[in-house]
Amino acid sequence: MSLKSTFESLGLKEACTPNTPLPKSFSLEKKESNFPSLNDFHDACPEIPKINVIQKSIDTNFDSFIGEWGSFIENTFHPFLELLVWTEGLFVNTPWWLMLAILCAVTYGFSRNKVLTISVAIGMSVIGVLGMWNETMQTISFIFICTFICVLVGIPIGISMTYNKTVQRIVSPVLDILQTLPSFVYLIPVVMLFGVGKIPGAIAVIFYAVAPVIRLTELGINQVDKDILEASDAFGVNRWQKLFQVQIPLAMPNIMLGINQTIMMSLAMVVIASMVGVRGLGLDVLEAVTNQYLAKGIFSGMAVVLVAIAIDRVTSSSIKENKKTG
Amino acid sequence: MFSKQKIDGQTSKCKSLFRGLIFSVLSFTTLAFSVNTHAACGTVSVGEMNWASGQIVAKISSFILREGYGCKIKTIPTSTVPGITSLVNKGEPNFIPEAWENSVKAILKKGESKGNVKRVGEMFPDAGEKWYIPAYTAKKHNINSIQDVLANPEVFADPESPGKGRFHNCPAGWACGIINTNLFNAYGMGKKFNLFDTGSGEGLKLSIAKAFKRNEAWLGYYWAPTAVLGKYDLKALTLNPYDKVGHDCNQDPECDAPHAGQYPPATVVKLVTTELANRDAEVTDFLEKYSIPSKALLDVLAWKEDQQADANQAAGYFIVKYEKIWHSWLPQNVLEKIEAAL
Repeated sequence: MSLKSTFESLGLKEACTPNTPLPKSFSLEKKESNFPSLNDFHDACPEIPKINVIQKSIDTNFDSFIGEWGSFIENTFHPFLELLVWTEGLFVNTPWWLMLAILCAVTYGFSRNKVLTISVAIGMSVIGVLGMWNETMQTISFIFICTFICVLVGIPIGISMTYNKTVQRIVSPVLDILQTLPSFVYLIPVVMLFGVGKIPGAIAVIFYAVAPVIRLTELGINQVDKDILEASDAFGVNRWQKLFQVQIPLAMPNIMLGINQTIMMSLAMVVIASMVGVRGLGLDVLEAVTNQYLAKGIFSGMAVVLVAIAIDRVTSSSIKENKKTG
Repeated sequence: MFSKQKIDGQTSKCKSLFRGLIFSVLSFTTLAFSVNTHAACGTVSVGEMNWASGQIVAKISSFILREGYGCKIKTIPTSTVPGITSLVNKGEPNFIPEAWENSVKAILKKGESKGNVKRVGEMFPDAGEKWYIPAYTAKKHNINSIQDVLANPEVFADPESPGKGRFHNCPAGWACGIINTNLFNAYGMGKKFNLFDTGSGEGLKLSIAKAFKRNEAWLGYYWAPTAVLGKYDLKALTLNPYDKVGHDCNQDPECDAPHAGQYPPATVVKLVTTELANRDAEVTDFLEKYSIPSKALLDVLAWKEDQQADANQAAGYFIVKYEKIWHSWLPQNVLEKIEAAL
């Protein structure tokens, strides 16, 4: 009431009367908001749009955008989808003993730790015996590509943040948003564009997991000792030499830590990714959760944990190796 | 009474905050009073399912029970299995307007043999699970039955498995996933189609929305009554007739001989505790008559999504637009009370 009279006293009665009468609607229980919302303003002055009318117009605009650009964007991303499908095929179709041998070789190569290598072999065998080999391979291949893209995108962004304050000012809040925005909020437009499948899943994972590698690259490069930089200047190195031969090697432990965190966070997103149709361990967890299958949930959950621990130990021991040699 | 006074309060151009306060206090006391006068109905705890139609049918029945019969309403948000289990074992909620019988047969049987739960008729006459394709795809390629689909896998091409079509299955862990898998194998679709797990209800629904926004083909499972069916023109595929023995096997993930049939027609019933059914004859009479034809419900569901309205507004839309339907549920004296509340 008071809002309406305020509008009238401001001489806005004319402006508020709509040219065409609005359709009637009502709600069985009115949601009372303490703070005057646009809906209250709408009640007082029908020319002011209701909240859901605004939301609807945004959606309509997005729909027409999809209609115009949908196929183009989907085609642009097609090579990425083929990469994901191809890698999955590679991981799943490689004979298990060869895969196991490769995994052990990679573990040993990175960590130089026999106990760790044997533990990885045992852990992967347990997963295989419990019938989750294919799902685990699907998950590892998916995480592999996602992490690869995170590193490919994240390290250059992190470096450019140290060179340019504007980039830093833009990227920081964007990372905050990506890490806190509930995944399904940005998955809705992404799924509308690409349909259910690997691409929306990968985008969800990358958006969420790219932050640590960017942040820790920036931190690592910023932390390089000023004296060392001055010394390198004194030797007359150019900008690229300084970056690749001084800054990045010295920042490596931090960058590796960032990659490690990125992998961990991608694994944490596996269940969310499976909610839009990515196959793998996430789907097993989801199935167990919707049906309250206790044991199945624990088995597939533990498989995710096992993969995570293995990758974490391997990458973090390679950080220690790096520190020793560097 | 309550709502009427409130509307009077609003239209009487009261300008001071103080008068508004008095009105709200007054209407509050009348609310309390009106509850006391209909002691016969008492408290009805309504189990509100956590999806659109479940919420709308709960809101409509709550509104009528509160305004027409003076019941005190307690809303309990829940879902099929926990909600019905709780109704059978604890008597709380004591009324569930939308109970999908097929998924809780064992619990219901147990409850009925103990005599603490009662079915009071069907909620939606033609609910059910089917395999669908968009109507435009059906028309364009002249596809009507599962045999037509099998002959044209390229129409439903799956970008993730080249050379195959995609069948959108229900999310992992849903009972329909097992049945669809068995049907999929029984119809021999495996060679030409990929059984695609959509991961979540949202994933399944969004895949349909995406197809319709872009006029693409789509093949998969869905169920009625839902906003999806109200909003998008989906055509149900003709499958072989339903067979009970075959379907029972299809429900088992380890079924030896999957049967190429289809889903049985689903029964969606209203459940009450025996205690509530015996409490007040008039209330029970309403609960028995309470049923919404699927055409009206699909319209309400589609309207709700289009307007991005909440369940209360959608229930309001139903009350305004489909007077004839709800008038048929109620005796004259109750109708008068509800008209007054409106």
